[in-house]
Amino acid sequence: MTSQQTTSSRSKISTRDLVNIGVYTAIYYVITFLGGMVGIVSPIGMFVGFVLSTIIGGTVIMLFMAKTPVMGAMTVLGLIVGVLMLATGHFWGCIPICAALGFIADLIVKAGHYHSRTHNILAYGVFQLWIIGPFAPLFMNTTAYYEDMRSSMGAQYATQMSQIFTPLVVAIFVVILCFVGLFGAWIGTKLIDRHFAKARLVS
Amino acid sequence: MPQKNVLTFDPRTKIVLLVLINILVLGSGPFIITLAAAGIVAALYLSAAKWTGALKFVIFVSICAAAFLILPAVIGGPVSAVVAVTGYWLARFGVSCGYAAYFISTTGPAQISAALIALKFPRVIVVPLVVVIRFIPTVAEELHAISDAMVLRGIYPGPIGALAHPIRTAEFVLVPLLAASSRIADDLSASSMLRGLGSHRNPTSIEKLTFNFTDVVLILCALALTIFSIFGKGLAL
Repeated sequence: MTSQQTTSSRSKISTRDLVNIGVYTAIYYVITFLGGMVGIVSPIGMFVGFVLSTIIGGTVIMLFMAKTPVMGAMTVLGLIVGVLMLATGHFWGCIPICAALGFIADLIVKAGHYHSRTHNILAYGVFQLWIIGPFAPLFMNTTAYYEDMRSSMGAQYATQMSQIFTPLVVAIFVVILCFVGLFGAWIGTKLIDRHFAKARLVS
Repeated sequence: MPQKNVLTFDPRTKIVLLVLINILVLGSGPFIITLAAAGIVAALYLSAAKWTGALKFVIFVSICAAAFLILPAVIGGPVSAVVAVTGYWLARFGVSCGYAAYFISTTGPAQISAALIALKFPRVIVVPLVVVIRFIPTVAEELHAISDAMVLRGIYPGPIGALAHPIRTAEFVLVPLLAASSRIADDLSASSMLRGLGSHRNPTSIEKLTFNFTDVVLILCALALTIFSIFGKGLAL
């Protein structure tokens, strides 16, 4: 079958785009999930796993952006990733977080007229910040949680705990993730050049 | 599909409960809400005759809850405090993941899509989600086929080799996976459009969705828990 997909940008999401979104979301989600699986070993393993899956996922999303140059593609992808996170027992807030970051990614990609390398790489770096989502309960509602802890473990320990998850720690984590995302997306563009552009799978 | 001696619930009920339990357990409610939700999830496992699943779930949550509630009182010190905090979070995440495992193992793809359509979710969500559910097994199959091909060509790295060269291994696996997937995506979109996927009329499903008495009981339990978590904030625990 010949691919009739044009790679020039369109304004509306077609059914074909929706199927593409489904396919690439599935691949992306499997990679993320396998990365998270590494984390079962230990918390450090979790960090390594997410770094790896962020780097590998970069290629998937770069190819996805090249295949579906349409406004809203990343928003829907983010939304579906959020729904899948909820369906596998992660924090419900993943849905709005992923969708919002996807929308921002869409705007960045659109600003680069869908074919700008720099914009696409940047968009992935931003989108990948959703990894915070599953851990958001650790940072949110903290007063309620420390109430719980205070009753069980005493006030001194609860205040110590509250000093671990400070905004600064979260900010550092976010910056690291963003840079790893940019690196992964850059590798993705290299891989696409090397393997897919030659085979004319993308223009 | 439906067996005897097994309580089946409407997929819509299960989706509503998926959201509710997640919000309750990972929200700011007191710890006792988590334990109550764990009770509901354990009952659901039993109702589906998943005995080993129920046993594993109950043991996991009990150990985590015990680590949080009992351990610091018995043994003091920073180590037991760290264990207690870990137990606290593992219990919360364990309940939401436990329900998710129940949800996935008892709800088929056709049921999920029928429920989403019945709940009037927009096309932009239903179509990709149906494709994802349909496509995840394909990804697994392709990954197996790729690793077989790697063995055949003598470039299979093994777990140690994969850890030593993660990027190279990823390239070897990812490039054929993406190439195959983009071809399959074309086929899939052609065949699904022929079958009218994403057309504007409301599609019908061979899955019959019916609310039963058991659904009402389950929803009432969840509602009671929700009300309790809203008004019971001042409680100890």
